[in-house]
Amino acid sequence: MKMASLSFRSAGAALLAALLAAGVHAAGVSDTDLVKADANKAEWLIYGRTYDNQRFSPLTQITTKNVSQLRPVWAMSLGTLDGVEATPLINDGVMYVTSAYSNVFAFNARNGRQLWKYAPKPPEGLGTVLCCGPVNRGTAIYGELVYVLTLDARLVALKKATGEVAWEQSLGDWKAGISATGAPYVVKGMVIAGIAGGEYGVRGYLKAFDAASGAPKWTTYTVPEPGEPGGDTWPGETWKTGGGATWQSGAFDPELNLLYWGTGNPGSWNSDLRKGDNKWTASLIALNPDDGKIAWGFQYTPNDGWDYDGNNAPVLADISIDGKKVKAALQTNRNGFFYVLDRTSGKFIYAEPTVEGINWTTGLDPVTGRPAINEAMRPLADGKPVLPIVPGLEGGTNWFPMAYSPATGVAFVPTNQWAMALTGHLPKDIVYEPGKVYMGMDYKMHTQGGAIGHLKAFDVAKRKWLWQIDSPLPLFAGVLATKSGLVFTGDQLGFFWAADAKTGKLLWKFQTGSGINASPVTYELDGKQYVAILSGVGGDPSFYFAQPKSGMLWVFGLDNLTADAAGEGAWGVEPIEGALTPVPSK
Amino acid sequence: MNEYLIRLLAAGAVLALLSGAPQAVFAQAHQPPKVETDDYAWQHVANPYGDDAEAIEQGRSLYRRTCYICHLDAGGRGPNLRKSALKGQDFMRVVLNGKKNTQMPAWKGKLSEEDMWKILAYLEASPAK
Repeated sequence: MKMASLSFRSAGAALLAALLAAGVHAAGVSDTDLVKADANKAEWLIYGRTYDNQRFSPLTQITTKNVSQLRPVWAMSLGTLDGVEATPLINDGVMYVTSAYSNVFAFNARNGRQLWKYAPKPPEGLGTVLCCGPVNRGTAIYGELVYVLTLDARLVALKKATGEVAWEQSLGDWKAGISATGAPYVVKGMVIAGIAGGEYGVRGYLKAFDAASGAPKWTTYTVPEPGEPGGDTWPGETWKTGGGATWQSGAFDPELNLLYWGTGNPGSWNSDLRKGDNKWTASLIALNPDDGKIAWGFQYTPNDGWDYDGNNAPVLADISIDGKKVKAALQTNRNGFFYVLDRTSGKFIYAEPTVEGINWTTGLDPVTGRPAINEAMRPLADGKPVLPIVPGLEGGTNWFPMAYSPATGVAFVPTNQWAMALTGHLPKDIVYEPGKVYMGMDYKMHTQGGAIGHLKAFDVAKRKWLWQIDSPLPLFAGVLATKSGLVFTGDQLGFFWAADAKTGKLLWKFQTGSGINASPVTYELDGKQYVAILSGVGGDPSFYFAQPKSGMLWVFGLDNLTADAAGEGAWGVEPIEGALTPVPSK
Repeated sequence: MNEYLIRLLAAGAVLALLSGAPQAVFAQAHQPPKVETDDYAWQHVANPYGDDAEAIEQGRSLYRRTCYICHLDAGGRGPNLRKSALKGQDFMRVVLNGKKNTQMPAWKGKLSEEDMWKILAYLEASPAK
């Protein structure tokens, strides 16, 4: 035992030395590294892999021919029965993963050995301001720091090498209903952080901090005050509790110097109590990252009364439409439409339904994209149920990111076909109190018969659906596409799967043991390509279907690890203190 | 538990024994309900607001601003509380301490005991349709 323990320690020291020596440039991840993330085939440095958010990997070792040989190489418990929704990041042989309650893990990406863990203690009572479970969607990396947003609304910078807190900043008062579940986003030496709280009457904002020191740079509210542009779209004092939360990540175009961010539903849900467009809720906004000023906004759902958050971050793609080159932003929305916008100006190009039977609108204006509202499907603050509204408030496409292949111009869109009933409360029952629920409405999701989940392939330039894969339960996972023509995603039956991007033929499936509501990544280490995904139901899908719970990280490759590569273990071999001691000597 | 149900359970248990199924089925049926203890200084052991119309109205308002996000009017993300099998203080203990391995948080420190009783009074005064 003594021997094993010694060699274990020296292996640990050797690993640390190797990590330090393995070409880690002194300054760590730079702005250039992030701007050129696409050329860095081996790593995954940004939430959406690249600033354009395409979740497309140029790696080609795993192909449609050999993907059937894909096998788990290592797996690791994330120590939670709550939902895991993160996108892992891979940098310098280390994988950074978040679990429930904003826990952060650093693993040796070669064999799963845990290098450190950051486990902030949630304050008592925090659970009372979380609408959708204690979830977290991942980290950001810059310099020698890794960043996480905590559920109690803090931005924490951790030292990559040790997991020690370098600095932290408050994003707001969680007791007032402000929380954070998204992945932070690094742009031009700043960390951009969004907040959640749209069901608690929070007025949404984005905050930027200096990435090295944590010094606050700017705060931009998504909902304007009276007198500001768009301030006249809010009657009376309604802007103060106007929602428009910023609970996901963004996208960035370095050439245009525009940061793109989606915004959530207005508060309360009762559209008739805040007549007007309610800018910029349920919108995409483009900001100048230098000062946080809003350059333009595009509102998907003006005067939203259906909880159609527009938070899913856009994919930036340069496409050719009707022979014209367009710098586009693509977005798949909870309101049931897939949007194509001009990302230089926010101008509407076209939208295409992702689900059948959309009925909250009678159609979008072909020039402006503005929806004509079907008033019969608008719930009022009168206690009367309205149903069936299509799609239900979960979408369409909720938060999980699609993938886009620039090689073929095809988007891979996870979308759900279901409906809902909404019943507005009476005005006397819709009372704002900081930190308390401010929904003003009862809702119930309804099935419509047939499969709920669909992964759909969409040719953006040709405006044509190519194929779809059905799943009986709703899909809640992100998507990954590869240059070798593969599409990866997961489902609520626990399967992680790969399909042929051309045909939609399922090529490989693996049962992970719990539903998947996270996003897959791929990377290369020592010349071999791997695919990683988190499994573990929680958050929204767990409200509708029962299934086993367990937060796990799975890593797949074409070859098993050798005994040498696996090392001596992913965790320590020392017994718990006092629990197991050597036989006493006489 | 009525006599018919007891017979049915007993018959089921015998069948389970004969078929070699785990005997725990029988044992479980006879275990007394587990009472959780806590160090909370309760002011009331029973609901003081059962027939207090004003408190019930306050309970309705409180319910909509707290429990509502998950439990809604007839269940949603959480169960329909109007159909809850938990009564009185058993219900209150779950509200106070939350429920492990679920998304039910502890409301200790967020709601007063008086407010919790008012919410329960409201739920009991408006049973499931």
